Amino acid sequence: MSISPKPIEVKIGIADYQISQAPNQLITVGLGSCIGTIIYDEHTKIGGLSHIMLPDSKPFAKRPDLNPAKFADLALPLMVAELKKKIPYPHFKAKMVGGANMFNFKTSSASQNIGMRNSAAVKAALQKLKIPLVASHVGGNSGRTMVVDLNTFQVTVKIVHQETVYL
Amino acid sequence: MKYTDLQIDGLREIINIGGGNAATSISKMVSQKIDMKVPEVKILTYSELYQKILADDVEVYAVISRIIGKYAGAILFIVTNEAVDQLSSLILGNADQQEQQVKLSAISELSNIVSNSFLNAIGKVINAQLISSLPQITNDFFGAIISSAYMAFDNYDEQVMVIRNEFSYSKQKLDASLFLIPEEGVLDKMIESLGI
Repeated sequence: MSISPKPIEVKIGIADYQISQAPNQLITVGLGSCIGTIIYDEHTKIGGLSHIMLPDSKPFAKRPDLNPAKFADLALPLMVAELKKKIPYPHFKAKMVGGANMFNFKTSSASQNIGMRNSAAVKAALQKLKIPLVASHVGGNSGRTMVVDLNTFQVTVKIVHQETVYL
Repeated sequence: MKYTDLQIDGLREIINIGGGNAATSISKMVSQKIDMKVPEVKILTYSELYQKILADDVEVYAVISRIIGKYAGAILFIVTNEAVDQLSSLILGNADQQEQQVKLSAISELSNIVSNSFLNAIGKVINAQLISSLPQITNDFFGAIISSAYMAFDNYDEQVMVIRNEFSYSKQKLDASLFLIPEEGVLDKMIESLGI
C-alpha cells in the first residue's frame, strides 16, 4: 500500500501569506476590499497565497511594528523570494481575487476606493516581479472566498447568492 | 491605540447608554423585552474577532449607515440569517410566510431606528449632534464586511477597536450586534469630551 499524503486545507488569515504544495489547498475567506493573490509554479506544484489589506506601505514606513504581509508592495516580493528558495527553476504564474468596493458611500475620501487601489498595486507588484497575471476576478461590490487547488492551479471563487466562479 | 482602563471604561459607559436606548427602541418595535449584554469595548486582532464574535465565513446581513459631522464614522448593524427570521417574525408575525424582501425591509427599518436611537443617546452624553445617513443593506461574508468597513473609515491596523452591543430576548440568543466604527481621531475626541 502506497502512502499518499492526505490533502490539507491551509487557511490564510488577513494580512498574511502561506506557501504550500500539492495535494494541499490554499484558502482565504472574507476578501472584501482585500486581495488574495496566488503565485504558482506548475512543475513543482508549489504555490503561495497572499491576503493583502492595503496597496502601499510607504505612508506607514515609520511604524516599528510594520507587517510586510499586509501591503501589496512588500508582501508579494517577500513571498516570491521565499518561493524561490524552494524552487530552483521557477516559472511563476499568478491569479488574483478580491478588491471589491463593499459600501457605496459617495465621498471624496481616498479610502473609499481601496479595493481598486489594491488591485492596481497587486498588478504593479507582479509586473515588477515579471510574473504574468493569467486570471483575475476583482471589483464589484461583493465579498469573496478564494480556494486554490495546488494540483491543478484551479481557483474557486465563492460569492454569496451568486454562482461559483472558476479561474 | 493606547487608552487607559479609565478611558476604556468611560467609552464603555457611553456605548452602554447608547446600546440601552437601542435595545429599548427594538423592544418597542417588536413589543417584546429586548435585553443587552454589557457592551464590548476592546482592541482585538482580526483573528481574535473572528474567533470570539463571529467566524469570517458566516453569511450575515449588514446594515451600514455613515455618521456625518465632527464624530464621523459608521454604524453597522450585523444580523445572522437566523436573527433576520427571529426579528422579522417578531415584527411582522409569522416569518415563514413573509417574502425575503419584506423581511429585509423590516430589518433595514429596524436598523435605522436602532442606529438613530443609539446615536441620539450618545450624542446627549458627549453633547454633540450625531447624524446618520440612510442605511445600505448587504448580504455577505462577515469577514469581508467587517474588514472592509473598518478600512473604509481609515482604520488600517490589523487590530481594531471593537465597540459592540449584543442583544437577546427572553433568554434566547439573538445574533444581532451593533458596531460603532469611528474614523481616526474620533475616539480621542469622545474621550476628551468626557474629560478623562
